[in-house]
Amino acid sequence: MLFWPFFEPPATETMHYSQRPFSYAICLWLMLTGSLHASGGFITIKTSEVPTFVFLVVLCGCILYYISQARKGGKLYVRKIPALNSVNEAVGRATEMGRACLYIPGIMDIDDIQTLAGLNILGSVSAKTSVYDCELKVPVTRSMVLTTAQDVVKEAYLRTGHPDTYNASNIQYLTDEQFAFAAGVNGIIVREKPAAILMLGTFYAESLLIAETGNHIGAIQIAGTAEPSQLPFFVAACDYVLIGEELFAASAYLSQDPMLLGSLKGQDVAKIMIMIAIVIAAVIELGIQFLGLPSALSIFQFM
Amino acid sequence: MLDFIENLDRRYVFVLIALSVALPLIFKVTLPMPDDPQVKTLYDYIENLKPGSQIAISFDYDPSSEPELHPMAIALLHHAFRKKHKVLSFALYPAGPSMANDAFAKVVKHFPEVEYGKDYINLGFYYGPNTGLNQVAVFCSDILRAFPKDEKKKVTGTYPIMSGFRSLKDAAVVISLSAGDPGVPAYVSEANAKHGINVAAGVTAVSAPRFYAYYNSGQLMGLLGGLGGAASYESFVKVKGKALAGMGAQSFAHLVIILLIIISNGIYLIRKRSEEPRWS
Amino acid sequence: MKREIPLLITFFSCLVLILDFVIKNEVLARLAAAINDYVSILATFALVLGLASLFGVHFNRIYKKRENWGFSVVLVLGFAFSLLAYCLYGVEKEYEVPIPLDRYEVLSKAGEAQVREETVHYLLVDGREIRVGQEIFELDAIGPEHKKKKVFYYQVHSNYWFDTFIFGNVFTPLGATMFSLLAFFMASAAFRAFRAKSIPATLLLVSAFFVMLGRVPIGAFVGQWLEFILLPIATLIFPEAWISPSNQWFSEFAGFIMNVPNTAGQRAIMIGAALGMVAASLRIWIGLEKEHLGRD
Repeated sequence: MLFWPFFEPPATETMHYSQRPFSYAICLWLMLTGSLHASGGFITIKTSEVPTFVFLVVLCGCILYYISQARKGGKLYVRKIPALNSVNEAVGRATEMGRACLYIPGIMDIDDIQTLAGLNILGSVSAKTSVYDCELKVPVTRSMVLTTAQDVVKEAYLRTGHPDTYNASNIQYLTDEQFAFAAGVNGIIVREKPAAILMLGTFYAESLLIAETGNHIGAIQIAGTAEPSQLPFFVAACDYVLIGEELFAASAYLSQDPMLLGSLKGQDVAKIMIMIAIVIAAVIELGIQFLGLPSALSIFQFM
Repeated sequence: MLDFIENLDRRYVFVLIALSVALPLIFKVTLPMPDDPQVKTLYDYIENLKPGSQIAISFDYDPSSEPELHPMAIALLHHAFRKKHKVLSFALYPAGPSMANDAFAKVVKHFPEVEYGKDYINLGFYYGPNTGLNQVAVFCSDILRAFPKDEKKKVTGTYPIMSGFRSLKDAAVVISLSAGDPGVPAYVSEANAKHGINVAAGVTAVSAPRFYAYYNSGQLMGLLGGLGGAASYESFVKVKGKALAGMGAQSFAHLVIILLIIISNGIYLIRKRSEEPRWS
Repeated sequence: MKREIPLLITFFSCLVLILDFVIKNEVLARLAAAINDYVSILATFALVLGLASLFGVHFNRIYKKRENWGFSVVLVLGFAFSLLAYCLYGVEKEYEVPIPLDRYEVLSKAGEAQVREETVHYLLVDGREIRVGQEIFELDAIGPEHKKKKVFYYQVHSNYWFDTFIFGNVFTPLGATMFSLLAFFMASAAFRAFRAKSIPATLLLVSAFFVMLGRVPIGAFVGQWLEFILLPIATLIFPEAWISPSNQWFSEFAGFIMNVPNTAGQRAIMIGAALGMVAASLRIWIGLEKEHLGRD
C-alpha cells in the first residue's frame, strides 16, 4: 500500500497527473525521515551546493507549472524544426529507393541523457519505418543501449501492427571502442548504402568520419547532438541538424503530447529568466567598471 | 575545366592534403610560432612559482589523442623539472597512466637528478565511481584514499613527494590534459568552482573553442588548444618537440584548405554570374 | 508492471542522487555510491549480451557464407587471439613468473633478465598466517614470535603479445589512422560545403579564413601580405592596431574571433543544451517520457 501509485496499474494509468506530485512528495518525505532515522538524526546541508539546488528547483518548478497548464488544454505554439519535419521525407525516400535507414543513437551508454533522447526518437522513427516497410538498421556501441534499442524498436513494430517485419539482428552491437565503431559504421554505410542516415545522440571525434561517408554515398542525413564541438561538422556534412536542446525537444515535437510540449515552454521560460539575469548582471558589472557603482553589487560576490 | 574543379573527386583533395602534410615533415619545415595569450598565462604562472611547488597533471587521454596532447605533457614536464617543481600525475582514463609513464620516460632522461617518488610520481588510474565529478571530489578531499597505491603498486604514502600533498588543494595548479569526457569540465566544476583550486587545460583543437568560455570567465587559468597550443608552449619553454615540428605541416595543410575553399567559391560565383539573367 | 517497476527504480535512484547532491548524510552517500556501483556492474554484465549479439551475427554470416564472410572470420579469430593473450599474460605492460631462489641468483648475476624480490610480512595469530603491511609488522608492540617474513622471487617478462603487439602495434596505430582520416574528411567537407551562398555563409567563410590561418605560424606571413588591404578594417575593431601595427595582428584578430563571437555562441549552445538536459531528465524522472521503456 505504501507505493500504491505504482503498484496498481489501472489506477496508475487513470491517475490524474496532479496527483502524482503528491505521491512523489510522500516518497520524498519517507526517504528523508528514513535516512534521518538511520543516520541517527544527523543531516547537514552542503551550503556550497545550495545556489545550484535553488536554481534547479526554480527551473523544475517552471517546467512542472507549464506541464500542469498544458494539461488544462489549449494549443501550445512550438516553432517548426526542419530537421524533425524531414524525418518523414527521409524514411519515405529510403522506402522509394528500396534501401535501408540507418539510425545511430550516439556512442555513449544508457546513462547519458543524449542517448536516452536518441532512443526516444528511435521509437518514433521505427514506427514510421514499420509503416512504410523500410528496413531499419541500428548499430550501437554499448550493450545496455543494444537491449534498450531492441526493446524500443520491437515495441514500435508491435504498436503499428507489423511484428513480423521486426528483425532483431538489424540492431547490432559493434564495439565499445570509438574509432572501431566509426570504422564499423562506415563499412555498413559503404556496403549497404542506406538512403537515410539519422545520427541522434552523443558524438565525439567520429562524427565527421560517419557524416562525411554518408554524404559521399548520397544519403539524406539528419544529425543531432548537444556536443558543441561536433555541431560544426554535422552542419557541414549533413542535410539537417538538431542543435543542442532541439535534440531533447524532439520527442515532444514528434509526439505532440501536450504535457511534453508544456515542458518545452517551461524550459523556455527558465531560459528567459537566465537571459534577464545575464543582462542585469552585465549592466551592473558595466556600471561598476565605468560609472563607479559600488563593487558590493557585483554578482561575483555571490558566486 | 570548371566542371572538373567544381565536381572534383575528393580523392584529389585527399592527395593534396597528404602532400601538404607530408612534404613539410619530410623537409623539416619549421616556422616561428605566434604568441598565444592563453598559453602564456599558464607558462608565466608556472615560471613564477617558487621552486618545489606541486603541480598536478591529469592524463585524461588515450593513444588516439596522443599527437596533440602528448607534446603538451612533455613540454609541461620539461618546464616543471627545469624550475625544480614536483609533479604528481594521475588519470581519469584507463590509458592515461601509460601515457604518463611514456612522457616521464622521455623527459627524465634530460634531468638525471630527478627521482621517482621524490620529484615526480605516477599515481595511476582511479578505480572509483564512474562519473568524473565523483572522481575529482575524492581527489579534492583525500588523494591518498583515491590512490592508496601508485602505478607501480607500492603504497603511496611511503613516497617523500606525498608528505606535503594530501589533496588537490595542496597543488599550485591542476592541469588536465583531456581528450573528452571525463576531463576538464569535471575539474572546473569540482576543483575550481567548489575549492578554488587553480585549473588549467590542455585539450584537442576540436574541443578548444568550447573552453574559451571557461578561460574568459576565469575558471581556467590557462588553455592549450591542440597542436598549436602545444607548439606555443614548446616555444616558450624552448624545447624542440613534435608540436613545433608539426606546425609547419599544419600551416601548409590549412593554406591548402583555404585555397581549395577560395577556388570552389570562385567557381561558384562564376557559375552564379553566368546563370544570372542579362538585361540589355 | 513491466513499465511501473523501471519507473519506480528510476524515480528513487534519481531522488537519492539529487538529495545526495545537496544533503550531507552518510546513508544517502552510501546509497548514491551503491547506485553508481550498480550501474558499473550492470554495464559489465550487459557486455555479455553485446558479445552474444556480435557473435550471433558473425557466426550466422560465416555459417551461411554470406557476402564478405571472411571478415567475420577475421573478427572471431582476432577476438580469440586477444582473449588468449589476456588469459595467458594479463593486461599489464609486464607480467611476473615466480622462480626459485637459485634461479633468481643466477639471473640477477647474469643481468640478462629482469628479476624482482618481494618480502611479504605475516603475523601469526592462532596458528594462522595473516598478511600485513610493513608498518604494522614493524610495530614494537608485537612480539617477534608472532612475526614471520617470507621472500618471493619473480622473473619479470615484458607482455609482448598483449601490450606490445595487440595494443601497441595494432590497436594504437589503427586508432591513430582513423583519427587522422579526420584531416582528409575535414578538407573534403570544407571544399564541398563552404560556399558563400548567403550573408551568414560569407561571414562564416571570412572568419574561417582568419581563424584557420591566424592559429598557425603561416598566418603571420599572410598577415603581412594583406596588411595594406585589411589593416584599415582591423583598426575598426583594434584601434591600437593602427597606432602600433603588430606583425601578429592576424593572429590577434583570430584570437578576437575565438574570444568574443565564438565564446558567445558556445555559451549560448551550452546553456541551451544544459537546460534541455535538465528538462529531459525531469521528464524521464517523473515518468512523463517513457518511449525508451517501450509503450504498451
